Formats: sequence, structure tokens, C-alpha cells
Amino acid sequence: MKRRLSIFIVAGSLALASLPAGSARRPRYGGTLRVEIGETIHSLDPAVPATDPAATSAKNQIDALLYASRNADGTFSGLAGSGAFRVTRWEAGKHATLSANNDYPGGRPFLDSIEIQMGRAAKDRLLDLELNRTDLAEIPPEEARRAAERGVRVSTSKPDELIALVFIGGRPVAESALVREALSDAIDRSSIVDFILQREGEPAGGLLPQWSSGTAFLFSIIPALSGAKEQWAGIGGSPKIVLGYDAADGLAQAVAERIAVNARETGISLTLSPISNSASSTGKADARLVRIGLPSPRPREALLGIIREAGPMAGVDAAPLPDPASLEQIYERERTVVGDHRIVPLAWIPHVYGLSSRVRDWRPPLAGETWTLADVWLDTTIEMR
Amino acid sequence: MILASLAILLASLLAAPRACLAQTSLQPAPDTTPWGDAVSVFANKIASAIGTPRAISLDVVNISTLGSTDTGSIERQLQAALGRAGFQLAAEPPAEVRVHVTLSEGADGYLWIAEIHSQAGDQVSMMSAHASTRAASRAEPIPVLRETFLLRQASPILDFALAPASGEEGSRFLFILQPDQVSVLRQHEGVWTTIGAAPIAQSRRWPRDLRGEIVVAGAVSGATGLKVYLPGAFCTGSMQSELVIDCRQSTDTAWPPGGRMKATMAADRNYFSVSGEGVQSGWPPSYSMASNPDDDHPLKILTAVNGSAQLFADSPQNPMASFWRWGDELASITGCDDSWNVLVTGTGDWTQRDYLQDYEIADRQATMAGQLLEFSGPIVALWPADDAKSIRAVSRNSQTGMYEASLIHLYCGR
Repeated sequence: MKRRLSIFIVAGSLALASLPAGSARRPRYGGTLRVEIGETIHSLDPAVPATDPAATSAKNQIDALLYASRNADGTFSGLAGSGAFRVTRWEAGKHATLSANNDYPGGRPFLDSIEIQMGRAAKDRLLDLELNRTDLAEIPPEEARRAAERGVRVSTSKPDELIALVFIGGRPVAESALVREALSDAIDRSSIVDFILQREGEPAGGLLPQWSSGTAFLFSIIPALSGAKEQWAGIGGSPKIVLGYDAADGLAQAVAERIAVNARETGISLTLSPISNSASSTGKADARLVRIGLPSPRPREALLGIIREAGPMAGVDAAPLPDPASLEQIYERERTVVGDHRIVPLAWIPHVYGLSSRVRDWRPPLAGETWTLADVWLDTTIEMR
Repeated sequence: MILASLAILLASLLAAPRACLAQTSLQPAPDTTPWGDAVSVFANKIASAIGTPRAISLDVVNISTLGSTDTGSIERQLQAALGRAGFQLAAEPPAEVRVHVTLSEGADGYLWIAEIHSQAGDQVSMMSAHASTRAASRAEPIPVLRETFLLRQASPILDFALAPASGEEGSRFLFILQPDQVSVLRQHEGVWTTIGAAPIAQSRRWPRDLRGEIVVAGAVSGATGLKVYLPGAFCTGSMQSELVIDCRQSTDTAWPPGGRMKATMAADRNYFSVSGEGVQSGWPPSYSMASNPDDDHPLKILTAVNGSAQLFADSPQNPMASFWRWGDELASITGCDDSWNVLVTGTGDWTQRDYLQDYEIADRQATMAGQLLEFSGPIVALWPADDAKSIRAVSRNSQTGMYEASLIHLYCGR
């Protein structure tokens, strides 16, 4: 087995910028938190789904603040006003004002209100963070290092989103085990993390991140170029792999282009195909780049969740694991799926947030959790522009 | 009640894995550390995987948050345990079997993994690992803050109180104040077991940062009286054959931390208001307060909502001194030379680890005394004992999310 200890030096290399000076520790009441998001949400009705996966995720964050009941699939529902906040102003697709719910069973939130600005592009969010025009905004992971260098207070979650290449079950090229293994061996995962993600993430050899399973280091991330060349050379019929990626996802495009370079270096014939439809669409692709959020920090639930998400596309059976499952059972299942190369893990990326200096008790959500804004408070002794 | 029992069970398991791990064929190494028992079990797993004792090479790599002292100790004990099991440890490969051990860590805690390479093939053996006791404290200067850990549980602890059991020397009861109940536990052979609980009748919603204080007077089974202070509520109770609590709404009941001042908790917030008959107005709303024991020259320190920590005599208009970079919680304790000392929490917010720092207050100055006492998460409650010789601290472990109750003493080397 090839060792991959070096990745853990990379992980978490961008620490949370230290809190500004102050004496506060106990939560203070009051103030308005200014939040900017990139997505546009057109309805807060939990029964009305958002238009795309990113908007669905953003809507779920807001629903979590408004509704007390969480469904098994992670969405929220219940009576309007049952959550920690209530909507007091709403402009579809543009702006929302949420006010603290004094009757919230968990206790009134510390904030008086939250102002949410929608549809803000990443560069505008970054600029507003630099100019202290907003208190909380998500930053693309690949921009995190630059943001920190420009003085933005950065908060990084544990890597909880998997970028993976999924071979589409049933496609002739994808059904060749040699093709799958050759491409998997050809990919330089470390360079994806180092150059595209600017070291904000971890190369992924397994389906679970090291912080969750503790066994990720047992999966190799080192490219096996000579082996890949030999495997490819041994395949008859000159196969061509079409790799699809979400056309609206700049990070996915960059990763796909990197994979194409690796493939070319190994002699693998691979072309790229941007896909403009939904995440589940595959177009004419034999394989597709996907981003899968870790549904739970617990290794058993996380592994099953990932297989459930990518399995149908890949044709991988999402057989259950015992509950509780032993360490060995979880590891063996993960090893079996990875060894089949239908789901090819590439990198783990964190969620990165920019914070203003007055934000306190912000915790980047754990895998499967939502923003805990009911616990956030503002240090009003910090001057804002 | 069920939650409390589960918490106790979990606390017992965490505190005493020694008993669970003792049923192994390999004996713990003589050099026992918190990891001795876990090492024995792990050595057994490795031995079982290899089979017949033979020459092996062993290397250990740590990629977890364990420190180098623990890592070195684990490696030495593992070598010794495998040696006792009949394996010959070769300094360098080629040995018949190569064992590569990684001390790893996942969401469920420490994870030790052995990759065993031999001509028969490669195997992976792994186990969860727990320390059997808290790490031993290092050599400490005098005076020093010492923590006596009592209990940890998943549900929030607002405060706790210890009371002796009447007629049973050395036996104690522990009362735990939670948002919805007071529970009472009895210590038996070092393990706290829940023996009763009484619900707190709640007529209004608690604030999000709920604070509470419990005072127990007298020995249990004798005339034991309980007082429970909550925002907008005051409860009295007793513990004889069973625990009984009676609560009523009250916004003007003075809480104990006020000392000579009348301090009442704002009903829907997390800070005290200082007021009352004969008390000058204008005191800032505060999170905590401490008074000196000198009746002739009374002094007090308030940590105000505006972030200041100030020393006052009798007027709120003229603070005698301001102290910087103090946290919101403080409590009085008697210093080594009977001086007035206060223990103060750290700054920042509750996403960070916390600490207690001892300060001696004299001549309008606060002088650091001794070293910090560190906690693995924020201190969410800090209350002084009646005798001023200890402090009750409740912290929340950032790694586990568990609430931990501890008594803090100032050790003066005598």
C-alpha cells in the first residue's frame, strides 16, 4: 500500500483567522447580521423546490432558520414561524429580512435580525467582506487563501464535499474495468488540490475524508502512470472517454481540464463535454464529475450517503451496512467500492466562509448540518464601517 | 431521567475502560500509562493476525492529535507487549513480518491501525482506542489551580452542588441543575449514579443562554434545603427520602453571586441587574461579580455587558481600576496568603478553548498568580463556593460537546 501522510500537512493549512481583540465571551443580544449568498431563491415555501442544486442548498439554509421540523431527507418543514427566525421582509430573488422569534422553543436568538442579500457573485462577496459591507458570505475554496491574504477573516469547515468522477453505468466504455482503472491511476489528485484548489482541500483516494473515517491514508493518491499506460495499451478497440462536467461550475471545469491533461500524458483518449442541465444529467458522457456533500460526520452514515448519491449513476449497489458497523466493515465496503473504480474519488473540499470582525460564536457547520445562526452574536464593541 | 442515566453510563465507560479492557491474554506493560490497557488489546489483535510468534519489524507513525509523549509511550508499550507474546522484534527489515502501525483519528475518536505485510499477504487490523484515565498533570509551580473533575454529561449543566451524606463519612451527593430538572447522584466506588430527580416546572421560555445557580445547605438525609435560581424563577426544595422541588415566578430574587449587592438576573437575558433598597443606582448590567471579604473596605469587580471589567468601592460612577483582556466570568477565591483573589475566564467566544487565570487583587491592581488552568472548551458557568476556597466550573468540551463539571481549588503547597 502506498503511503499518503503528506496530505495531512496540507489539510487545515488555512486556519481561522484569529478573533479581533476584545473581552467578550458570553453571548450578547442585539444587532443585525448581514449575509450575502450567490444563489437566488424565488420562494421560501418549503413545498416549492429551488431551481438547481446550489439554490436548493441555499434555500435549505434559510429554511433551517424558519422551520423547526427537519425531514429525513434533510429538508425542513412545519409551521411558518416555528423556527428561530421569522420572515419580516421578502423580495423574491433579491433580499430577505428575518427577525428573531421571541417564542422560539430553544430560546430567542441573540441576533435581532438577519439581512440576506441574494445573487451576489463571488467576487462581489469577497469585495464586500474586504470592505466590511457584509458579516457572513461563503467564499469559493480556491479563493480562500487569497481572501485571507487580503485581510478577510476566514472560517473553514472540515473538508466535507467530495469531488469525484463517476463512470456512467451501462455505457460501453464505462463498463470496461481496465478503462476505469487506467483513468483512475492516471489522475494526479495532489496537483488538483495544489494548483486548482490552492491547497484548500485534500486529495481523495477513498470515499471518506481522514477526519471522519481515520482510514483515508490507507487509500493511495499517488498516480500510477506506467501502470495506467500499460492498462490502456492493453485495451482493444481504441476507446474514447467523454467526461462531462457542470457547465456552470468553474471549479468542475478546471478539474476536468486537469484530468484531460493527465489523460493526455498517459495516452488515454479523453474529451470534455460541458453539461448545462441538472446534476443528474449525463448528456453523452461516459463519466461525469460530481460534487457530493458528506451527509454526516459519522463514517457509516457518510459512506452509505455517498454511495446512495453516486451509486445510481454508477450502477453501484447501495447495499446496507450493519448498524452499528465495525471499523473493519466500513473500511471493507469503502475498499470494495473504490477498488471497482466506478466512483473515482478525486478531492475533498471544505466550505469556506468570510466573516466580519464582529461575528462571534460562528461555527462552520459539520457535515449534514446547517448554519447555526441562532447561536451567532455580534460584538458591538467592534467598530464597523 | 433516561438521558441522565445514559450520561452517567457514558461517563462511567469513559472513566473506566480499564475494567472493559482487562480481559485480555496479554498483560499490561509494567510502565502503565493511560494507554496501557488499549495497547494490550491492540497487541493481542496484531498477535492474532500474525499467528505463530516469529521475527517482526514494527514501526509506529502518529497522524492523530496525540502528543509525542503519548506516542512514544504507546510505541514502547507495544514493543514490550509483542515481545512478551513471543515475537522477536527486529530493528530493521527484512523480518519475516513487517508491521506498520498508524495512530490515526476519525470522527469517533482515536483509531489505531496495523498494516501487516508478510509472504502470506497483506492484512489490516484496526481498533478504536481510549485512554483509561485523564493524563497525569505535569510538575506545577505554586500557587496552582487544580481541577477536580466530577462528571460529564450530554445534557446542559447550569450548576452543581456537593453535599455530604449525613452519618456516612466520606459519602457525598451531587446535585446537578439542568434546564428542566434537578438530579441527585450518589458516589459509589468513584462512580456517580443517579438516585433521583425532580422536574423544574417551567412557566415561561428560558433564554437561549440560560444561566442558573443551585445552593444546597445541610447534609443529605438530615435537614437538607435546596435553593435554585433561574432567570425569572426561584425554586426551593428538599432532599430526604426523595428530591422535591417547588418553583415560582420571581423576577426580584437576589442571586448569591451578588455578595453585598442585590443582583437579579434579567428574566429573558443572561446578565445581572444590580439594584435594591439602599444600593446606589447606576451599576452597569453585568455577567458576573466578585466581592472582597473585607467588611470595613468593601470592594467589588463587575464584568459589564459592555465588555469592561472594573473595580469599584461604593459608587458605580467612579471605578477604581479597569482590567483589560478579561473574560465575562469571574469568581472570588481566597489566595494562598489569605489575599483576595479572583479567577477569571479567557476572552474570545465559545468556539474557542478557555482557561482560568488567578489574579491577586491588591492596591487597585490585579496581579497574575500562577499559571493558567486550561479547559478543552468554553467555561459556561463559574460560581464561587460559600467558603471562598473553591469554585464550581462548568465547561463544554469542544471535541465531544459534553458538559463537564469540575471543582477548582487553589493549591498552596500545604
